[in-house]
Amino acid sequence: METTSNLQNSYFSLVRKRFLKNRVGILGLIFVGFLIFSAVFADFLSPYDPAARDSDRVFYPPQGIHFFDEDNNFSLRPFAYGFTEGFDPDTYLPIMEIDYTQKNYLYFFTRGWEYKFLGLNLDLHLFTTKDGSKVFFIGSDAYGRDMLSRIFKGSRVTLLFALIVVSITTFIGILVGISSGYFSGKFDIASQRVTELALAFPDLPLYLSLVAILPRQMDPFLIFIFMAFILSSLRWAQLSREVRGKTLSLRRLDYIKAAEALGSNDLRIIYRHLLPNVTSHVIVSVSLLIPSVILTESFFSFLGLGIQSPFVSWGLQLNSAQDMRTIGSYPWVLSPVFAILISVLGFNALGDALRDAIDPYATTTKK
Amino acid sequence: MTNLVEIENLQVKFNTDSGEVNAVNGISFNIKKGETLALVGESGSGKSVTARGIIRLLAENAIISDQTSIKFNGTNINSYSEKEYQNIRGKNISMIFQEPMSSLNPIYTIENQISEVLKIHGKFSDKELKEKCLELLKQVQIPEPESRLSQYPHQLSGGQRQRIMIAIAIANNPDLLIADEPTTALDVTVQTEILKLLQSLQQKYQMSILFITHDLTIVRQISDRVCVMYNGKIKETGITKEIFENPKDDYTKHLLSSEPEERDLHYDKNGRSILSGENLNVTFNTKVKVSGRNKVLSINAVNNISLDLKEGETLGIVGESGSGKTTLGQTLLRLVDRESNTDVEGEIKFFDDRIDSLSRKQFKPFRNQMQIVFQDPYASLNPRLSVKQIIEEGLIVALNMKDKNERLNKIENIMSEVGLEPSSMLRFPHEFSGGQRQRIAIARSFVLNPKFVLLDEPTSALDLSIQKQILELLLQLQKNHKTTYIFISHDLRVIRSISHNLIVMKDGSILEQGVAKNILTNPQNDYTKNLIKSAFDIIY
Repeated sequence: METTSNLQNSYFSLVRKRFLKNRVGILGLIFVGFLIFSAVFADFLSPYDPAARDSDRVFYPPQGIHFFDEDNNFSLRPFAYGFTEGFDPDTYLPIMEIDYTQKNYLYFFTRGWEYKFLGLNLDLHLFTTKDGSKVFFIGSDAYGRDMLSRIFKGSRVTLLFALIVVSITTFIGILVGISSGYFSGKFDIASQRVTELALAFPDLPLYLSLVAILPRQMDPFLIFIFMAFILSSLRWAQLSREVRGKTLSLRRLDYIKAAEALGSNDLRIIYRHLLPNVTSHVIVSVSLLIPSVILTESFFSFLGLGIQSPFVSWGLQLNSAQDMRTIGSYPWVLSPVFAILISVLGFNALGDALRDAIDPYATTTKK
Repeated sequence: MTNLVEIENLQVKFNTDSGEVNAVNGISFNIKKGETLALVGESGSGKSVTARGIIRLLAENAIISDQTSIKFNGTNINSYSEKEYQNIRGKNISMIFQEPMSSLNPIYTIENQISEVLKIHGKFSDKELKEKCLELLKQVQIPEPESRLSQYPHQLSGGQRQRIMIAIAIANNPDLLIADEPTTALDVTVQTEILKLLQSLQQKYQMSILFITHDLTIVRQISDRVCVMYNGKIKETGITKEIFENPKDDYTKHLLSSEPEERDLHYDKNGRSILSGENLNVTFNTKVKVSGRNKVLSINAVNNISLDLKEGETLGIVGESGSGKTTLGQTLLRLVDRESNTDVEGEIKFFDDRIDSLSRKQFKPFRNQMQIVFQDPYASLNPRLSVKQIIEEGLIVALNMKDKNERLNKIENIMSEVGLEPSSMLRFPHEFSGGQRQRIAIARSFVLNPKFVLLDEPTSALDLSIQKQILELLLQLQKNHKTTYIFISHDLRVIRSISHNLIVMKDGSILEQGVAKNILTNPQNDYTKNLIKSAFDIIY
């Protein structure tokens, strides 16, 4: 009996090793992990109800955290100073001045506004303030709502939306791609022409016109679902092309013929032999597809055509930052841009690193 | 004779994701002026790395040890810069590769590719270049050299491309030619021609050849001296004839004894007929564009072939690439006629049932009785399934075996029978060596206890010593299960050691058919004679 020579690492441990060598990829993974964490525990992380308005604190500027007050007295409990509204004596423009008498103390792991999580009524938060005092780390919006809480809440909607679009896209893409590559012949020719049509279609005008025919007074949840379908309508084509190519090369391999010689039917060959071998490729495509969906969604919501309130998405938050005067006076309304930036960069870095890691011919070791 | 190349303590390591891997462990040897030195060894023995180490054509992650000393023509080239190596490559030392299909650039003409190496190392006018190219083409004995100059690689056959590669290699009269398995991808008759060409060129230019191969026949045919490599070390060096007659090292002995030998094989000639084909014709129709019009190009891959197998028989089918031997085999198993552009005609009988007109569903009950083992054990096993899942598949789909324990029992039995540890059934194919993978593929077929197995070059991708083990396994399985085989191969030595009867195929037709021993000792057809001569003759 031969000895088990060249006992290599399993494919996945090799992929993991290669991935871990890529620093940018790890950074992307951390970003993405943080995003998913904040989306799942958005309510717990939010100090205030994202929908709660506060007419006393409209366009409240970002507040810093302090441990020492103006007289250098140390306080173990961090606090933030409030603002009072004043007027510039020359220009009569409203200005916010720090009010050193107003100390808003932060309380950690404490009870605040109530929310539902997995069917439970909870009111525990990472931190919040008590007795009507408030701290806005990155300011408040035109209705006095906490920007930070709304970004957390928005990450949930944005990511969920991307997830739905990507799921639909991947399902159709794999279905069309594998069957087109495996069955070939007339079915392949027909499905490839449809795919080409989808690839050639100008996507933004199509999305815009489809969104335009959605009735405005429709239920926001239905709009959310319809939007997902509209944005999926063309995106499957690219993936199906890639999967088809991969399938075409796989189906010529002997193990497909061997399965046929054993009597396997087409369905079994597809799910048992083809599907597992295209998965790694699909995972990469998905991680690169997510950022493009996030960008398109925020673009539509920014225009006011996408997700409607009471849902909160990053793009929708930016909707209020459409005029120069608002941006000039209250620049913190642009903060969702950073959330979008981080998630897009994170997913892109993760996808790139995954693609490099799964490619067995790529050389990662340089001299 | 003086030494052209002196290599001392060559050590090459590769820096991989799973740590450093030693490829060559401190070997020393010399290449004399004008001699042919064969570097022989099985895959992974480090022979290619050694050759590439001499001209520094190694992968980026290779590390050559500081203690290595390589002297070329008396000068130590070990510390040369990349630029200095570029001056040597193609001028003093040149190289031919294994795969003629991928070693020429498809977008340049033959003239472009040959003149490139001339222009790099010298100054010529356009006219001189053309003359020189033509002369080189004549030297490598390409038919119609004038018209080849403007042709592209895809217009040439594999053997012709390898001749172009040789022309490029000898363009600057090198002192050393490194030939890295230059004939492995070629048919055996073409191989003989290429070897003859290399020998005549060597005498003409007085150059040294370092010939890397795994094929002992070639070593005997071409080399003056031989280095036997195993596991990154040189096991034995010496004059070729002496080593073959009187090997000293245990590994060399083992290697030489692994060559497939002639066997006395018997079967019941009056047994039941198990599989027969009558007037089989297979035509592939491809659409081509001829001056803007769609035309159907028909290729007759199998041309009016009839055959009949008795129970327990092994029928060898031998032929060069493109002879239609695989198509014939797969036709008998109903594995080719799935594509819509293929026509299959003729009558196929399995025992008393006609199977040629059955639909895929109707044919399913026959699947467990007729099985196939493929050539490449890397492509024939799904990398994402464990060994258990691979072997189990037939039991589920062909035998419809529902009981888990019964299946497990069967898998364990067949794994021990083919020489695999049943405890390794949860591992994945990549954890096994080539030979072990082929055992898995054999187990996948034999777990169904088939009456007939098509063996499509099952040993061609394997090393010599593994090849012997697999052949013995197949003979043992045939004895235990009374299986009937068709054994497809291009290697007459292998065919000789396993088959009772033989079919010689060329261009889809049978040239000769009969008892294997008779054909091999007394071939009637000229083509068969040539084939046998190329495979078995040592000195010509």
